[in-house]
Amino acid sequence: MSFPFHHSLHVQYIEGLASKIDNPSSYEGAVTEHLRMSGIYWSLTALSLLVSAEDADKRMNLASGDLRSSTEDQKPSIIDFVFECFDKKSGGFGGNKMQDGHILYTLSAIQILALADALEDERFLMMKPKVISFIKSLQQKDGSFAGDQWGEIDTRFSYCALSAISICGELDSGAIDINKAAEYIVSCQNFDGGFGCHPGAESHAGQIFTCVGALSIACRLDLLKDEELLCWWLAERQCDSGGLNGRPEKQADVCYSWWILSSLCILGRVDWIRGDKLASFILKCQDEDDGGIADRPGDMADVFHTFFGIAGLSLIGVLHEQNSIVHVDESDGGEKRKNEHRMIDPIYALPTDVVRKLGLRGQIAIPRNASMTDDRLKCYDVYNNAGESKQLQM
Amino acid sequence: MHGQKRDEYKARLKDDVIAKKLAHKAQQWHTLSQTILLPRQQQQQQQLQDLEARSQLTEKLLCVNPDPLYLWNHRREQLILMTKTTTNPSEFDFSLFWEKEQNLTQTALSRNPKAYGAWFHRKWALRYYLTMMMMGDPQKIVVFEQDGKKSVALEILQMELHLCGEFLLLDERNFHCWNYRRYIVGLMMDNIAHGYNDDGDDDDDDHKEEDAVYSSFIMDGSWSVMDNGFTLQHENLPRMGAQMAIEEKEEEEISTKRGSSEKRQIYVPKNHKMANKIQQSLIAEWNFTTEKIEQNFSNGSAFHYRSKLLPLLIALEKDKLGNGEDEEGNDGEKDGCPSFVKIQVFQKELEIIRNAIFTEPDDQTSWWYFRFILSWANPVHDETNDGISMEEFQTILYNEWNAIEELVQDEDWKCKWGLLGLHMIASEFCHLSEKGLSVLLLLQEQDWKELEKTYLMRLMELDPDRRCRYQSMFK
Repeated sequence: MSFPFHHSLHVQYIEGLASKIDNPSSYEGAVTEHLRMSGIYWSLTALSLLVSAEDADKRMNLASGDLRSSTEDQKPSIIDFVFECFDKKSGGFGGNKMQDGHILYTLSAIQILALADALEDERFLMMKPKVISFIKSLQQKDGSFAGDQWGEIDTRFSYCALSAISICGELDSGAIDINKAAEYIVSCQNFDGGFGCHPGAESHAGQIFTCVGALSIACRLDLLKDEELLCWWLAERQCDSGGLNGRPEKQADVCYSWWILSSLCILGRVDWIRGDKLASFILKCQDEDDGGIADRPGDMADVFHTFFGIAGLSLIGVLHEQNSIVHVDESDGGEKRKNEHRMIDPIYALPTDVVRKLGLRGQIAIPRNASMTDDRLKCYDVYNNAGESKQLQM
Repeated sequence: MHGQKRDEYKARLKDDVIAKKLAHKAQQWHTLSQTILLPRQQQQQQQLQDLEARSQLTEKLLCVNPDPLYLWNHRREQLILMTKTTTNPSEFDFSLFWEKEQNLTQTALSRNPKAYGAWFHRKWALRYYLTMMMMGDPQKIVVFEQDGKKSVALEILQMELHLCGEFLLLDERNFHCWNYRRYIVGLMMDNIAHGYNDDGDDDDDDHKEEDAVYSSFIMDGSWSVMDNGFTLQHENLPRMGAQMAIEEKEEEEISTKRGSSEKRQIYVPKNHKMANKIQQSLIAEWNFTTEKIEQNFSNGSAFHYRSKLLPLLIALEKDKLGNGEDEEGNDGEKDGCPSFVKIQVFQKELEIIRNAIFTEPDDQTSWWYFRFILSWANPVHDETNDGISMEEFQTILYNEWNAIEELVQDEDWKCKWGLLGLHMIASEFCHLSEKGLSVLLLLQEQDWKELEKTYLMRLMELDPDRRCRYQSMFK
């Protein structure tokens, strides 16, 4: 049995978002205005998984690389927008223009710049010291991170900080205390092996991704206790529908496809869930008329779930393998579309070619007696439970 | 559009009347939020009446959409400025301030019970209120009752706990609310420690210098309890983390005010009145989780909180007994108060779990807690070795095994979580045997290694999707 992935519909859906949402009459645009930076990151990365970098660039008016010098198109590009959201006062990026800098949107901004190959843009080079300073100022004595000067503490912010610093190439600069950050994260581990927002908070798949991802970037997976228990807990998120939930006895939701799958990828146990069943669940969440993916079948699609759905499918592999449970209709370009699909990195949630080009650091765990099978992860440091950490031969 | 049905949503969009209404709302939003953003951008003077007007504006915006974090920032800036620009700062009506922020966050949360910004603002506002009160008149916030009268702070904190209870009735899994609850408990603990630090009213003869409390009254929501040490807490005891960062500058200010040399929250409940108060608060929390679980055993959030409280309450109880403070001895529940002697807790927890798994064996919630309890109760993991004896543990575990085997057989072996539970127990008996720690004679009647394999085989059949995990468990 094979299900169609509506390739073109999703491309059109993503392309159509900007004009829809940036319209001042758009209610949806108004209520999500504060997270526009993240919205752009989701849409851009989702599209980047489906079409080539150049194609994504053109369709979204990203204005990366050489296209920046184009004088024909006077419309402000995404990169222009990103720089306009720089908040001088804090040194971070806001979710939209004139909004206060926050670590969440700072990461999204940096991720967009990475996608646009614009980390060396002179505008960013000027802002960079302030951005690094901002992130550094958020780290607390116990290694945790606040979201902004107001001080909310959450492990999500630890991940954002580590990822942002890593993408900027500043992991070794001493800007942040990586080991303290890792130790704090591990102090958030719970009775079921999972992680919450801060020590004492309940395990939740989203928070687990941020914690596992952060430990991976810090190359401190060795600090993780009860690794098998955690992976078991993650594996038990798969419901009868094939979808994944975020906590026991909750409903399956497409976004968990990403957070759980990527965590399992990093911990080397992605085969503890049924990828094909998960894929068919995600496909059922597609809007087969207008494109986009929803949180569950029958619901209205949105950019957030579209991104996580596509990212999940990519991570499972079905968007790249011929004759998998997922096919692209002939009328939609057929199986050869899959050759155009780009892979996504489980640690940084960016296309793997972007991550490789930047030479980003990370660590993955391989269970004893298991071997590395995932191409995506070949560039990373490997930690195996025998206590050794070794670099894979390329 | 999280959780909105597609057909209904699209139909609404096509409706002209609705479309116009939504477009109007969007325009209104843009106009109002520009009004907020521009003045600050242009750094206009913050006159008091401007501030008032602007705070009404942020209130309006946040009631409509509580999600934008920057709006809550604006509001906090406005509030701080307002407290500083009143003609007489010491006359600033902080209780009105708290009432307003209470109402605002409550409205916001009724709109979106998961709005991070709203929950954080409530924590911030409460802390701001209590800190201002303390700077003004420390006596106001001492948390204990005198002659039946509660302090202002105690009243407020208890009201907040009550609010949490209300919210959890609407959604018992709302982790923001559970976090907020733990935040309030943290504030209570800080207040308790603060209250018992001043020698003043304490007429306890045994109060020695080394019993002094070192608490900086930071109120960042973090808390734990002592083990039997004097100073630093035992590393292995669960700790509720800070939910907000406190600036070093403020920390110093508070420490200076308190006359304390210690900056960070490290306190020693050697003062048994204080220890009692702390214990009471935690028992109340424990009872709350019991209540939630009895209402619905599928409440993973309650079990999670319980897993944190359990070691803390055991430690507190041990500490009390160690001091000879509990002269009556504690061999059971007194006055409806649960016992925290390890073996009794073990049995009680298993009883709760058994109720859950026998009622609904396929609900995985209590099985995770079951795994935790087995590990927690295991004498092998108990360094102090004064909890449960190996014989007691193995007897109880063997009885559990019998009970679950019966359950699973009744379900014709089609009981995945029961099988997982059986496998857990069989595995444990294997480990104990390998280590030469098997003391219960009954154990010799079973081949636990064979049973382990049998359970795994059955699991592979029953739950083929997770075959890879089961395969990895065949050693």
